[in-house]
Amino acid sequence: MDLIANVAAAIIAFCASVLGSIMAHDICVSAERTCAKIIRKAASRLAPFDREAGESEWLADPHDRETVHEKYQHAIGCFLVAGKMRRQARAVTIAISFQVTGVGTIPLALNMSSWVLGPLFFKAMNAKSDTIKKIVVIFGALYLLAKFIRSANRSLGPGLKLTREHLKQYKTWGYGARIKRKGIDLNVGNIFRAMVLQPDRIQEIIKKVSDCLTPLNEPRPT
Amino acid sequence: MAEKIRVSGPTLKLLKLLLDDPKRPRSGAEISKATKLGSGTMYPLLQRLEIAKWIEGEWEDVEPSEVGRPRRRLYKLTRSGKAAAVNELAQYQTAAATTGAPAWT
Repeated sequence: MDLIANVAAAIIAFCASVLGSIMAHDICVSAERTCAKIIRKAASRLAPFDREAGESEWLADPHDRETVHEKYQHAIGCFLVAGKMRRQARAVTIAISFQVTGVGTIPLALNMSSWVLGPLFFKAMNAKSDTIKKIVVIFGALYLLAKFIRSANRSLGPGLKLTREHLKQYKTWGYGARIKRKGIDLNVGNIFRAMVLQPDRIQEIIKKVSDCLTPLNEPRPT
Repeated sequence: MAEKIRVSGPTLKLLKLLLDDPKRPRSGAEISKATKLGSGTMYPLLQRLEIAKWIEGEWEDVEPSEVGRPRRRLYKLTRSGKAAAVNELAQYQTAAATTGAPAWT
């Protein structure tokens, strides 16, 4: 009985090893094709304006990787991270800088692609109750002030501090604002200047600004 | 001008590699091999640094049909990125020296 069991176990082990070898061989032979497939799928999850470049870059990468394991690791890594890269690329930031006399330049960056604060703010602002609107405006202003003070404390050199006196002189501050997204950096001051000085370019300028802000209006991918 | 960004361990590794020879552009695979960072960590990091203007990417100047593969994207530090990277690495070295932690190698 033992002999039969041993023979059966040996046959099964032999068959399993043969099948395993065949599968491993197939995986190795088809690695390039399978990885390319995974990478194309991953690239389709990138932001629309990034897809073509991302796919091309990621497809070139496996040619510099020697082992099959490295190729698969790269393809799967790209697939897993594509969503994060899409969010990163679509993020629209409004970067404002304040030139405070006697203190220096204080930057303030507002992420317009926030999934929580932005939608909550606009929903509350559309509420019927005036009290809710007032509360939201007050909270919004306090949030911006806190962010501004935090940014000032971080960016100013040692020995420099933003005081209440400086805040009171806000009318004398200089301002600059930019709208930024991956590959786009628009100077708001220049936009207005261009619109005033070159009215014939207004259409073109509005299109560029609209392209930059497109991710904000696109529906969230599911 | 380069923006301020959060600098993590992988970021320092990447910046150190690019600072070794700032004029030489490197491909993603080359960076990955040298820093031992996986694609899942490296590509979002490259994207973040590119958005913040610490690095700039350019396409390899070859014809894909001639080399038999797609063109590589090559990355190198921008001028402001180089200054920011030197500053970050110096800060890390100082912090490591005061806390007794091993310096960045």
